[in-house]
Amino acid sequence: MTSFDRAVMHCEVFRCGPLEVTVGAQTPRLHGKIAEILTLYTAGWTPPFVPVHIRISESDAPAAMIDGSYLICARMRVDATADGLHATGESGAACRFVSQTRQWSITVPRGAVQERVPEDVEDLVGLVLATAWREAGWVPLHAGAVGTDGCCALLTAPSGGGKTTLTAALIRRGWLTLGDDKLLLRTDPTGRPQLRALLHNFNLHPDTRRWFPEVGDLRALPRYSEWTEKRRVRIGDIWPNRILNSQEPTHLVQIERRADGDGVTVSALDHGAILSTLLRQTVVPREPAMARHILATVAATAKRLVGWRVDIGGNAYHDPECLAALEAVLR
Amino acid sequence: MLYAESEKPTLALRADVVVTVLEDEAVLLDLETKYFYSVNATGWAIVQLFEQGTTRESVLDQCRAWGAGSDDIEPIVRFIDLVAAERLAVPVNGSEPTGPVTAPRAWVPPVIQKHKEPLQRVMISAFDPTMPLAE
Repeated sequence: MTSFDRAVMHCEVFRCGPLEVTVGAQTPRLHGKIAEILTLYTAGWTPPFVPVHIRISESDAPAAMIDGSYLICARMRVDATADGLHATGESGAACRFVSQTRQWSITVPRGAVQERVPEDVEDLVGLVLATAWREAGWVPLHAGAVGTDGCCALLTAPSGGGKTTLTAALIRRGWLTLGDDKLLLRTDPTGRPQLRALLHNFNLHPDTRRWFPEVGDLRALPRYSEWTEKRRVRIGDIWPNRILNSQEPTHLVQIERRADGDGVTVSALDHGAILSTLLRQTVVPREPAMARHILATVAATAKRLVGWRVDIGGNAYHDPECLAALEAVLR
Repeated sequence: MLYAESEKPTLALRADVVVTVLEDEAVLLDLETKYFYSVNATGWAIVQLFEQGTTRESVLDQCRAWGAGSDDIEPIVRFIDLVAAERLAVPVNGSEPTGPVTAPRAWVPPVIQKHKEPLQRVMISAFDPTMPLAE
């Protein structure tokens, strides 16, 4: 099943959506870090699974930062190479992908007391997963989704833009969810889009309790990243039986948050705005074949969606009926 | 419209401009600038000519063959100008298109719409396309 030397590696197999990820780690610490990331993908999928192999080990020296001709992220750059991909992170962690063998090799500088190494490993593993999901025919979407009665709405906003809070608010009004920020999208041979869940966790801000008291006091939980106050919680622990695994999207909701005000206003989006909004929810690498697949999937999906922009005031969620106008256009 | 020989270069769609075709339109994404464009069915037919490499005059001739009248010359020239100005198609050494092109079902003037904001060039992660805040 894998080319790893199991005698010297800490090996484990994880299911991450349609992928079966075999990890071989040189040390328990590296294994622990990668397991922490991959065990989040708890949404149920059925075979067949696409095999992915990741080897993670220590390196003698930090890798130098590369150009980023394929992708530039805040802390990671990725180049396309003759045989696959090469990525580097700010801490000196690096990753190489050889497409012929489907093998990913991550290296982390040995002995470096780098507080940012774990973040770089998270970024590099994210690259592995996003690339493998795309190669399996799916487009990763940074969006939430809720569904009910044959309707499924994609909830779109940048990070910190209110996807989780709106998802939670709609769950409280009887909607089911596929997740608050990580989904997979593809179109079937007839062009019908299909959304699939990856995670059954939410990243909730402790202040959410102001509006949704059942969330409880989240401050006792660890932050899921040093960049945010949000805490990772299992959806079912707060709102049982509210999970969907698969749905055909019918609507797109573009969330705009206002700092002040109580109300929620809803206005229609034209086709161009729907396409633009949906394209902004996915990463498009600078590689034509991959970009073409993403563009085709997103454009075909956008064509079928009805779009609404919802402006949400900072105090809106104090009123449980604030979303009535949005629900009226979605149902 | 007459051009001097030096003003009749073959223009070809850049390799890093990707296109997807929908029922009655197409979407172009420039992977270098991250801008994207919507074109109608006639625009898509013209873009197919640029995919193979063509001159302005050949585009005009082909559009006349598809049904363009004298009133349509201006929107066709405007379309070509925008494709060239945005560097979606660039001068190359080449010949005229020889491959098949999907002709528009009915002639309408070509339209190309440049979407206002480009996609993000720098993002938080391989999954999250949000533009990162400055640290």
